[in-house]
Amino acid sequence: MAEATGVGSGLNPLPSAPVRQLGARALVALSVGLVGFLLTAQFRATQGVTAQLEAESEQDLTRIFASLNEESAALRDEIADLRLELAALETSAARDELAREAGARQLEELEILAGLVPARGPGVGVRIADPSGSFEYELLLDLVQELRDAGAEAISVNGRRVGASTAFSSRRGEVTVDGRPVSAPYEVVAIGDPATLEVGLRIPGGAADTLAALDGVAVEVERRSDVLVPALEEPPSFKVATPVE
Amino acid sequence: MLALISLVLGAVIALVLRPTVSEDQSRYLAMAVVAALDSSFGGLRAHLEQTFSDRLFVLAFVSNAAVAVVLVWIGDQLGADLATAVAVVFGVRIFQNVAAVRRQVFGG
Repeated sequence: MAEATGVGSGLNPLPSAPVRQLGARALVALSVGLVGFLLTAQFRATQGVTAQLEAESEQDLTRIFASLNEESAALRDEIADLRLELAALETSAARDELAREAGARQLEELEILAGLVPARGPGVGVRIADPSGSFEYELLLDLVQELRDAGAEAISVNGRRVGASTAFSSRRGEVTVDGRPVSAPYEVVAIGDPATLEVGLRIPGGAADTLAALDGVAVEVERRSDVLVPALEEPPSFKVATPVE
Repeated sequence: MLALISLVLGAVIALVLRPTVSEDQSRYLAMAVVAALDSSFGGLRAHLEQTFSDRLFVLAFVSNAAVAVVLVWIGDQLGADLATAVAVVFGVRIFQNVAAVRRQVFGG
């Protein structure tokens, strides 16, 4: 109470200044006037609602009460509905996100499979020296087939990607890949498990044996920890085939 | 005497002007009024004990009301019912001040 009552009389304004005292008295009067004003205003504000309710008949009050109850129940229902909706939307958002991630992963894999993007990873390199020109494109086909059988994921021949629609043939004694000539020494690079690929190539009577048996052909197979296979120069285009729904 | 006149004058002004107090403001105004009431009784008590300082009275009046309103507002923000705390504290003080005034007036 001390702060409200002003026990510390030493803080009194100088009594020799009547003007200041008059000002202080006016301030006190103003404060007390404010109390009266606020008290009455608040009293009236509270009275207003109470008087309004008191004026209603019992039946009306029951009706007001019932309608307020109803409103509150409806709002509670709405909260529950919105919560459910929110949960459903969150679930579907999570599902969409999962589907999007799976789709992105699948797209990546298909791009590698189709040869649309360069790929890198561990694998093997096969170097075929053919100074006497006895190498035939069918042997290259066998070699690629053998690598695929051993699980190669991406293959290139002399820096040309072997895609899904890549063809090997020969023209005027030269081996061609997708119509472009490649010449000795041939270098076939494949991405896959290096050990499996090497074993696949070195099967007795397999691709490496067949090549080595040729006149003047030397085959070198080595495992590599990191090989790079470029993308197809021309991505495959489909003019006639359409997917069946 | 001047204080009593201004109290009545304030009440009359409120009755004439009919200020509208919205429901939200009403909560705060109620606390401010309780705080101001406490200050007024404190001032009356100090007056009777002859320790009244107008400066301290005005300071306490304004700061008590402000603290009360701010406390209630903070309580609303926190979801705690500090209005009850304010009402209890000032209620107890009003009782004490009124008791002191009674002792001054009737002696004892």
